[in-house]
Amino acid sequence: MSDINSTVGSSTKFLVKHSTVCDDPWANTKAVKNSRYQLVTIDQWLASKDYYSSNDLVLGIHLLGEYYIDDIDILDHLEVFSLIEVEFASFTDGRGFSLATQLRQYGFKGELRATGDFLLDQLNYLQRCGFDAFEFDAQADITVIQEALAAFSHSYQSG
Amino acid sequence: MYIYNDIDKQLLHERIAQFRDQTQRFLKGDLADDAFLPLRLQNGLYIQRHAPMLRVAVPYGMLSSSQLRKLASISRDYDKGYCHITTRQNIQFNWPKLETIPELLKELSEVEMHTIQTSGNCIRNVTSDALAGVAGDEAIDPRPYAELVREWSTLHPEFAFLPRKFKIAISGSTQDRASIQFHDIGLQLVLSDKGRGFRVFVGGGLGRTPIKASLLREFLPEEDLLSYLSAILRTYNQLGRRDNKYKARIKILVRALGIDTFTQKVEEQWLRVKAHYPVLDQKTVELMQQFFSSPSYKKFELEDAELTLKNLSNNLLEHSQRAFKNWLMRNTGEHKIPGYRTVTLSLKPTGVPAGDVTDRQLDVIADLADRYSFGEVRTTQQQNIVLADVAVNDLLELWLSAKQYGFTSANVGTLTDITCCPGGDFCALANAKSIPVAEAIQRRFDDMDYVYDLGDLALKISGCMNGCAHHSISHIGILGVDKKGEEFYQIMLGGSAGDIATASVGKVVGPSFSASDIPDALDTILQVYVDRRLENESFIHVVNRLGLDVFKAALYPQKASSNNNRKAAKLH
Repeated sequence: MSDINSTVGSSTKFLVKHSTVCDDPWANTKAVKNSRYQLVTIDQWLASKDYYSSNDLVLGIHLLGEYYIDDIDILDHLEVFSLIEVEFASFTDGRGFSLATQLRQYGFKGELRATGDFLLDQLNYLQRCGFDAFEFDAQADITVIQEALAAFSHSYQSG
Repeated sequence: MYIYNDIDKQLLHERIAQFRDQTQRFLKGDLADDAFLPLRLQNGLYIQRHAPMLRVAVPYGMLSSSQLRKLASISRDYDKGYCHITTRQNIQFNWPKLETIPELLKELSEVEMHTIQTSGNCIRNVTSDALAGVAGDEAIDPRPYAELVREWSTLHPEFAFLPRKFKIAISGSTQDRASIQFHDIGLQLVLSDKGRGFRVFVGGGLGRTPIKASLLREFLPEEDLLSYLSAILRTYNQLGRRDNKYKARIKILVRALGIDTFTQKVEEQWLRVKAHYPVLDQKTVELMQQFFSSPSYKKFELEDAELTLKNLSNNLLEHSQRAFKNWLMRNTGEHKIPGYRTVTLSLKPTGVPAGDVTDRQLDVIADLADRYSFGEVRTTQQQNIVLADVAVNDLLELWLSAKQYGFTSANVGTLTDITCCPGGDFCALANAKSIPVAEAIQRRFDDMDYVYDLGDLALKISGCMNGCAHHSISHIGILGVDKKGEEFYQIMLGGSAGDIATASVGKVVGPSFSASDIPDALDTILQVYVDRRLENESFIHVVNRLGLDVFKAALYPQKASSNNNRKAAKLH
């Protein structure tokens, strides 16, 4: 798995959390020396759990939407993470929707962020699956994003 | 019938606004083709051979007269004056213009109709028994559950981008009129000592790999329905193949894992999921059942009703009497209430594509429904329309009115009641035409006495192996194939779906035929049946009893004799 810190937070992206544009504290973890904010891959986390679990760090973990939750060993450690980032390889691949729903159902309370290839038209569903933060390309329009997030006022699914 | 509440209306309104915006962005070039594709599909919109095709959901096949009238006016105003009833009980418009579709959707919403999830890789419109609520063999009315599943699956955020399409069917009877074992999930409502619940089947399907479903759970308590469906869908969403669309249906996953492993995965998932879903409590079910309560039937004594039925046609001329009695025999059926019958309006007169219905006919059906059947109708898997609640003393009057509009072809359930997909005349996926083949068969077998003598017979024709006409579970199935640019037709025998225990996929009899040879081939098959049947023995029973060899020998005499010659040569 490649080191993802190098691509995250480049200036061509921006973050929307709880429907408003906000700074991404994990954006410049490489540039800022000894930053408390760390974003790790699943491999990095598994290799050095003890180090990353140290209290001094504000830890984020990067997952791929296609991960099957039984195959990644993080369910017992969800409280360690302040951020879980789920990257969509393709907007037609719906596995990330189930992954996010399960992370919330199993008790993850931190920031759940969608990155990668998803459509504006999927924002409302993504939000209802538990995502509360979304990474966009610079040209995306915040008004359009807010409208898309609020596309539906009710839902049939309470579970 | 279910009536929308404020939330249903609001959601529909928001969905139309969303699709209007998507369509405008696409037409302006702001939304790419590949991004618009899944969005429009989830709104029932295909781009077809000649024009877009829009599929309208008819939840579990129920339509009110006001909905029929709206479909009639939309056929007139947005299409070429007709629409098409599909084998999944839905309605299709074949000629709407893309830019008018948001407006069309708004009109549909005025009568609580929509196109949501009638296509695309999501949970499709739920289907059920066209005789729900009135069939004599029904244990529990499936419609309240079908509506609950409709709501649960509609705009479901987690299951909108599945590996492939996903179809759920629900039946509550002994006879399976919804082909539940040929769906991704089939639910059979049962009453046990543990209360109401479901036998759950999974992994059935038609298309290029027809598979009969496996039993996933012998008894699922009613209250756990939605959490269990979620567990199945989540397992499929995460583990179903996404690398090859022909291997992406749940049936392939079930087959690859084996039903035991698949069951174990679902059950494990379910234990985790369960706590996060509300149980389907008694009160919710009862509230939903109220929408499907029986209409206010008139009271008839059984004997009086039978006498009325017998004497209905006494005043008709002889040949009309005969036609009426044939219609009574083939196109009406038993009803759980004494004095009532179900009536099938045939949409299969010779020369009309199966399931096609004009705007004028839709208006007439609405009037007939209002006058004779409490203002409601059902669409069927066989592409006809059922008036489910007709009093016996109205039957003659109904027949006389329906006759004028071509609905009384007394062929329901017979050879010429052909189920047929739109085929190569309309569909971009088709390998071959299907409508002209159906018509040629109807013209060839126009002697109704012969057709009646053949008895119950299901003949279905699909123009490609996607199998929209369900040919592989038909007594006689015909499949259009492409051989080096030419259209040929394979014949299958022995498929059936109506009985849970014996449902089966048909087998190909041999090399394919040209379109012009199909009526002769069919004639040969039927002749074998007539020659070999025992008293009152049905076609499907003969096929099951004798196997395919006798049919093969009759259809391919040269091959059979050359085989015999070879065998004889070996013996020497």
